Amino acid sequence: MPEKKVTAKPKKKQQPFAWVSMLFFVSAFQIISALPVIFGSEEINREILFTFGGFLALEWGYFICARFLAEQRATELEIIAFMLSGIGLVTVASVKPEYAFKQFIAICIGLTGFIALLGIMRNVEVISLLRPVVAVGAVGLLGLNLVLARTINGALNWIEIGSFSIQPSELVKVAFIFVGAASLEKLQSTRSLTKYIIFSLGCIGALFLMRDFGTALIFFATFMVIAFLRSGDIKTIGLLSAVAVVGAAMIIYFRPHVASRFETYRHVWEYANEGGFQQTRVLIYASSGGLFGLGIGEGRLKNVFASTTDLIFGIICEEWGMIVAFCVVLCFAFVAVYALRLARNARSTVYTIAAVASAAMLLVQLALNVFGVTDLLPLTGVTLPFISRGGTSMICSWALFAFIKSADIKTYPKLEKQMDDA
Amino acid sequence: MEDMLDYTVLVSRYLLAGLAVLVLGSCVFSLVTRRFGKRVGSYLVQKGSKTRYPLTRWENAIGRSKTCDLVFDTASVSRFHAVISKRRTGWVVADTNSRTGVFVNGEKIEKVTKLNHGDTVAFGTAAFWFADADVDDRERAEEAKRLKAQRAAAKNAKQNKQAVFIPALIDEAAEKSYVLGCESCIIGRSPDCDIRVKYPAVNSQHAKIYKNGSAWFIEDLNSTTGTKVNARAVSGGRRRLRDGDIIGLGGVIFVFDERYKKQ
Repeated sequence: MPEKKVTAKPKKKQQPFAWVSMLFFVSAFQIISALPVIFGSEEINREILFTFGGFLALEWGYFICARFLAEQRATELEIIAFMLSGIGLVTVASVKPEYAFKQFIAICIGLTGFIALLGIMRNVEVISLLRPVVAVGAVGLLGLNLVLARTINGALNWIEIGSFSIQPSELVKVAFIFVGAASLEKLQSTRSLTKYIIFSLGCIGALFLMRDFGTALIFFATFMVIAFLRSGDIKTIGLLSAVAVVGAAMIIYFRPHVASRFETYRHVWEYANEGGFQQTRVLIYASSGGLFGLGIGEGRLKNVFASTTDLIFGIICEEWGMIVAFCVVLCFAFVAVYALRLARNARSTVYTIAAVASAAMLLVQLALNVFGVTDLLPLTGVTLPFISRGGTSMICSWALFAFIKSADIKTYPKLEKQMDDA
Repeated sequence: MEDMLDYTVLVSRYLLAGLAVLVLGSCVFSLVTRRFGKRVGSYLVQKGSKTRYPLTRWENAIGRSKTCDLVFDTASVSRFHAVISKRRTGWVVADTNSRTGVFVNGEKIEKVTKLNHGDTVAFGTAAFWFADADVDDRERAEEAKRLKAQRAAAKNAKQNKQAVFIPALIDEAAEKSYVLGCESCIIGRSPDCDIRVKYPAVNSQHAKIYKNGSAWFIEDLNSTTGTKVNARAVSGGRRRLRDGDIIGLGGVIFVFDERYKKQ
């Protein structure tokens, strides 16, 4: 390979106020969306007003600190994260005002986790040291889940601690990517995927036992992406896919009740008041929203069961309109493209694998949720990242964004300088 | 209050759609206009051919496989031979279970080893010098500057060599110079001479200076006082003239300056 002329392109002139204008647009979007919820009833809803005020303060506080204390130059990911979180917070507050504060706390914890994970991801050596601990912890957590969890909506994946209930499988998603990411040196030294396959089988097997098929599918899709990134071998991926198809066929053959969960798929109108109740209502009400929606709090889908979790995309279509709903989907597409661009220039394969796997996980989850409620895929009950109500889902979504952001060289300006000096 | 709320809901429907598109659009614009320039961190310079292989990543796979960052299709290099990475402490090389090993300064490495500028690193029989890009760029710039100066000097010398000069006879005593403007000049006291020298000791037609090829010669024209070159008489023939030769025409001394004037 002869020498290529590789030179950095001339530096583009900095746009110092680009982030401020973006933040103003997001804040305006959030304030306008929150007004009908705060002033919707006869009296001003003070709890939502303070919750929302806290959310805006958190958002501005983060950006100011990120810009001036951490010298962050690229904040597009956080803009997207706050915009989606804001949509989720307003939707939850309009449907179930009592959950708004909990959702805000979840955003606070998620953001804290995001910053903490960015700190951990700074050092590749620390990641290597933590990887076995995280793997054991993840398997242990799923084991604990099988023993202690209670069944909610057909899935055995909730552990109650006091007045809080957590979904360990959401936290294991973060661990799944953390364990899957490895440095190039490690990948070349141990070219075998065996350990990671065993870990993945443990996780996916536990999810099957918990009857959480949606999350199992997300794990499997992410596993395929990580396996491809680690091995770079299409044959291995083909083999693993074939094994997975045979495994799924065996489960359906020996456990017919699993297949029965999907019997309404593509037949929701035949079971409009039974198994296909949620999907048919989503299709009816979403279409009534039109391009600009009926207005926040004006919809009827909110009265359907699980409207703020599994069916929240339907509410967005109905109340916020198809344009905003389409923008939500495009936000995830943007994140995926962003992750790919960052991954190509990442400083280690640890970051490349983590960023691409996180983007894949978010996309699969989005597809399962959006296509699930519109009957293009079976309804598996997975949440819409950042938007659906749920603390662990929110924390996981922020953590996945941390993996993507860590692939950006600009995230660690001091480290970059340190490396250049070295 | 209720009317105002209805109005707010109505307006917000359109505003929200517009703002959502605006936020997404500005994020996309930011992504599109962002530049991810690659920077060369270091080089591997192949011994012998001196081919330079730039290392543009913080982790660079080296091997025979096409998926590696640097591909060396040599039998002694394994498919995935080694990894050169940039760490906080500098550049390091690690052997990734290669068949023939990695050698730094002639010693086989067993663990991750630091690489310094100028170290030799060998993957099997493929040997290289490791060059830190910053140091190397500085050295190359200095080398290029030196070569440029050398080339300029050589060019100047060549130009000087190729240039055609007009010689002259310098009369240092009289502080006078006689330019040899023709290819064959007669020197003497007579006004018909090409070079007229008004000395009594010089005959009317004393000597002839002429060019033959690129060389100049002097010939005595049977003068009574004689012609000498470097104190040796020119008699019955001719004498080759060289730059700085001292010509005596009847005791009058001239210096032959071959490069007196550029043509």
